[in-house]
Amino acid sequence: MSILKYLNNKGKTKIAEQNQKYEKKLPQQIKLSLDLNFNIETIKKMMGSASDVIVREFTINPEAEIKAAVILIKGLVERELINEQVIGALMLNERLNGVKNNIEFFQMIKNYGIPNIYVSEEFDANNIVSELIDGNTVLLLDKIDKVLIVGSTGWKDRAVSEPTTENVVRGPKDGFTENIENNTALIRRRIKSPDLRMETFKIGTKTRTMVLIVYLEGTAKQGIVNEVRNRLEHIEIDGILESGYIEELIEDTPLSPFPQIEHSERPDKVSGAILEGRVAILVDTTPYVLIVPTIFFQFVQSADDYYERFPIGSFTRFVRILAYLISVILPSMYIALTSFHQEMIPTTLALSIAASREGVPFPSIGEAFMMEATFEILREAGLRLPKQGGQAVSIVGGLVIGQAAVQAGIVSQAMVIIVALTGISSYAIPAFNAAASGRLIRFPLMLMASVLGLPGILAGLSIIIIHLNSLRSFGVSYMEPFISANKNEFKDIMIRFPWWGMNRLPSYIARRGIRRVGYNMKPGPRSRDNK
Amino acid sequence: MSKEKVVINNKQFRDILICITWPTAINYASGILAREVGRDMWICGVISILTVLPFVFITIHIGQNFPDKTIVEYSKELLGSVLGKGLGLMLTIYFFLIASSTVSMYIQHLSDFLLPQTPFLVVTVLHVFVICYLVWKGTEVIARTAVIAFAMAIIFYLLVLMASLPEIDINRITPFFDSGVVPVFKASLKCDTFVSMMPLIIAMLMPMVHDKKRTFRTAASGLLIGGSFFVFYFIVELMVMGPQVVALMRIASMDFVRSIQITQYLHRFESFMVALWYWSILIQAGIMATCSLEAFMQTTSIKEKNPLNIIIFGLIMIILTYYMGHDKVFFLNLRENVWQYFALPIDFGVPLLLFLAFGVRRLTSTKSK
Amino acid sequence: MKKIAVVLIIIFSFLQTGCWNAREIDELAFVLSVGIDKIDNGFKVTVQVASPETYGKTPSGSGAAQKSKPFWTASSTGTTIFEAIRNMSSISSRRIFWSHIKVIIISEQLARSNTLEIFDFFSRNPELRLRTLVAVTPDDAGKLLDVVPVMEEDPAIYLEKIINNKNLNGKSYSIMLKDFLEDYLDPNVGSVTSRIIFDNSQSEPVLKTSGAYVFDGDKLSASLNEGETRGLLWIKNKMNDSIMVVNCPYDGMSTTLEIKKAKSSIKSYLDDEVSHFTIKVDVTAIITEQSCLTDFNDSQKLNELEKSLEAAIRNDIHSTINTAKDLKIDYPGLSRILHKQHKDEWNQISSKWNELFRNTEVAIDVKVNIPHVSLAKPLEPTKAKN
Repeated sequence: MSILKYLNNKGKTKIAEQNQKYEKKLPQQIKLSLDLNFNIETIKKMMGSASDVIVREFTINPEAEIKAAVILIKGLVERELINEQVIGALMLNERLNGVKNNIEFFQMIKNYGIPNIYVSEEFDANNIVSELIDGNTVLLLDKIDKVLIVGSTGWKDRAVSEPTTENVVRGPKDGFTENIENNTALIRRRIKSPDLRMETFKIGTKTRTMVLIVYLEGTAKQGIVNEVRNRLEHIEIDGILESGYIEELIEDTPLSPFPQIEHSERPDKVSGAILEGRVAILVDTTPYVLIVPTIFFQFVQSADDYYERFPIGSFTRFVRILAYLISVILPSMYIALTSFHQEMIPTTLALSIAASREGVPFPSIGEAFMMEATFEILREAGLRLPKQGGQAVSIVGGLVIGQAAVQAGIVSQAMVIIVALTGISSYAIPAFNAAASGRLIRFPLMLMASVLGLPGILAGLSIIIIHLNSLRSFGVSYMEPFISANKNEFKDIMIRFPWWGMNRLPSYIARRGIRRVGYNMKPGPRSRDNK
Repeated sequence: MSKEKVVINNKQFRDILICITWPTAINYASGILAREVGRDMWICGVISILTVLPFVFITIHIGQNFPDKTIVEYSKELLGSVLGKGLGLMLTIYFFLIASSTVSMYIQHLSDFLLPQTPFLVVTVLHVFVICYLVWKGTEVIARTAVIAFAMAIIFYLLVLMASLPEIDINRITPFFDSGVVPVFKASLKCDTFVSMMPLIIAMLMPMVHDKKRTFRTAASGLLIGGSFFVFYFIVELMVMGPQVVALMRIASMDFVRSIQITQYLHRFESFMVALWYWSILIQAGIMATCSLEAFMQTTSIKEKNPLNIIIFGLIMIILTYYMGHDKVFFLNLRENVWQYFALPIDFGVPLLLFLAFGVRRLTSTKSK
Repeated sequence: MKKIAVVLIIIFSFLQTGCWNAREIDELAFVLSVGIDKIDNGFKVTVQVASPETYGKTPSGSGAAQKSKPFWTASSTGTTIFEAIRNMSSISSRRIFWSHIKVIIISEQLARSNTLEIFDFFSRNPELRLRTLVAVTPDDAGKLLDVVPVMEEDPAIYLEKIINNKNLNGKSYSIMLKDFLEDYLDPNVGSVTSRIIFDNSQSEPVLKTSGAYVFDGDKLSASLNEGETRGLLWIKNKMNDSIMVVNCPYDGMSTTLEIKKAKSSIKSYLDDEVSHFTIKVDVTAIITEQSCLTDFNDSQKLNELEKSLEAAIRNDIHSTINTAKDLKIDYPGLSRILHKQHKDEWNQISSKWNELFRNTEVAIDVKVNIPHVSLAKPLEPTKAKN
């Protein structure tokens, strides 16, 4: 035992030593000098003389000969703005004519020379370079060792359009974009309360992605907000390209097939979650916003349950729960029933299935795995093919492979029906990550069913349910509210109670006892005493 | 157990208690009792439930004076450390035996009816693995799963009721007290072996209950609901099949479920019923195993569960289950004739002993004041 | 490290398994009914298996001709029943699967000699259901299973349905294995099964249910004719929706009455080792057909009709009880009533019940109520009123 440990540790120290040689030390503060050219060279050298860094030197006051320079990264800035507000404003401004002293001149420019909402001073070269990469413009003056940073971001963005992955029948059709300022604006448009708090983090050493957490103060539990803040601050990674990176780094149980953090592309869904007391995590350069904490039953809820009336909302929820169960259990039940427990099938059905399996060479387990694998391949292929090819895949997959395989005697008809039904049910679930969990669980369950029949399925299901019961998402149990079994909490889980009935926020997420709907909101004739 | 305090809701506590009472009782007890007293086996069920109730009360009363301590811990105080450790060890072994017997009942059920050719060991290993996973996750997870098990139990009984309504014949139950009053009471002692471990389980779980003042109400309602479940099952079984046929079978519940049908098309739904019954027996075995492990850890003062403990635990359970359950004649004999001689003294004796010790302690402390 | 080892052990232990119990559905022969006959030193077992080709809706190879019979019978012999069944595996390529069995038919000859072995086998087998119907036939059970029914796809379903139709004609009996075993195991009560015979009056032979058979202990004792069977059904409360044909009180022509509701209750008392039973039957009936021209809207005439129905019912029940007394077998189950109502006295005389039964006195009290008559006047041509 100890020999193994020693060898293990020895390998670790060697790798650590090697890494230390290549790790850059923390950059020290590089100071600027009073010489304009030196400053420009310093900054250009820090950027490695990249070809999209543009330097424009000009003179401001032809009499006093104050030299200035503007450094920007083309492609990230809005050129009109620089032309007019920085260079134009300085060159064409007559009020600045009478100034002799550079230091005074610097203050004058800062106070009333540049008509821009974002102007600040900076003297540390590292910060200057990060501002430059953020898309701002750097204005340098000769004989001054500070620079002015002028806000000028203006890259090409995608316009606000329909969300691609979450379709609803009724509801707003705007979706988040990759620009985090647009996204916060979309949320602010819906929640106009000053209690909406936003806290900024920059995560990722190379990407320095801006990450915001958004919550309603007074509604969200302070413990959850603190926990989110804590976990985000502890992330150390080189780059965050998508909110999925953050999701995996802050999850409670990363080894579980079930997602513990929800993500959404719709601002109305995120606003609804914030109103309930949840915390939203917005990440720059991606339209997918994370919502914590999560319970399992959120994955069968969709935004348009809340916009349509409650009978149809509740009914479609039942359909989705049924679809989830079917997509997880149906193939294994079929295998178990036809291979082990033929007595459970009614006689005429058993004889029909036996007839359809005449001449099929593989046992039902082999058939099931083959057909499921084929379906998964078709599904992946359908996602990746260009639009022109998509139609052909569905025709080829559905009709030809299914029907032809049956007629050639490779699979039986009943199996094709089962696999098709399973596949369609897994699309009925609105959240992709939950449907993916169903797909993952299906295969081990099929294995257990093929070995031990119904008791195997039971053992597998019990392992899954035990696992689900032990999951937590930021302190909230994953299977709430079934666990606390409080009657009031069930109003939004399997059925959707009408809006005049959902009086309080769910107490496992928000602070206790917050009332969201006034008294006597049920529509009806009002007596003289009621308002 | 020592890191965070485990808290169970009262409703979850009640659901756990319900899940302990009914699964094994409907399995073996109906056959055993029918062979003894015939038609009156449901009266035996009622009597045994009512007999357990005072012991529950005693245990809760003692336990409420020692908040946050399980029976093993406070028995060290009440009885002295040597006797207390002996009691803890005895409870460990007793709970372990019950857990093994429960698992072997379930596996025998499976291997008689659903999977006759599968070797006993394979199914045992699989299910002991599930129970070890459950024990590893802790009591909170068991409590949450118990809520699901209770819902499944309700569906089970509704289906039984619906399916057996066309077949019920009241004449098979009457007359009452057919075999005489005294044999019925004697036979209810045999029925007690399936239910009377409840006061000890309550004593082990009491520190975890959230609302301590309502413990007795919760426990009593759990006991009564669980008891009414299996008494109802006995009655329906008698009414549909008749006492002679029930006495003929070893596991009468399976044949009963096979004799009823819901519609013409779902005519053999016994596997479905096994699926509903399975959850409760999982909870029962899980709680017994957890209590056994807890008792062991508290007797030997180990603070945390580490995987090695659980693996050894699981292996011993596999061996014991295989030994007990593999030979079905042996198991039936064990359960019918031998079990009551060691189970009933523990079940009834331990609460009484602790009560006496508690009373003595209280008397001496008031005297010394 | 430890976690990986544990996980690997578990996964590999699963991979060592095989599927011991997996049976593909197309290697099973679904037995739908079984017939047992007696041959010299042994049994002959005939099973009737549904053949799957005819049940499949789209045969995989189109162009295969339909088989002439949608089922397949096979029989084999052996010294015990189970041996006979296993001997069948030498002629059947598929495994015999009992779970869908509907009817068990025993030949009369076998039932008269010994049935203990049969019922022992059927109650031990876990694949069988206790809801299987039990019937006895005076003919050869194997030949019975070969009859191609006209309306159904195979004889077992046909048999099950005609046995369960006992309500509609009131002349036959149906019993499930679980109820049969309950009576079988009770020493004081005799069990009753259905009776199936060949009916050769049609162009092709069909099966017919008629009457019942009574068992004494484990041997067949006698058969009941239709009237006695009907009496038994009256006592056991199974005559709902059945019919009775009685003679009109004035004409002597026949009238058919449909029994809408029939409820019987029995009271008993013991008088010094002579048991007395009072059977009360409450019947509600309606007239469905009359060939006499009496106008039954007149309540007095209706009363007469009710009385004749009462007499007919009483006759039936008397004939059953007398037959039971003659045979000394308590198949109506009167001992249970006595046990239920007078437990202590029963315990004294229970051992001698079979002799005491001879002296039982039974009083029958029938009450018939005919609530309405469908037609307002009988169907006879009336002269138009001028």
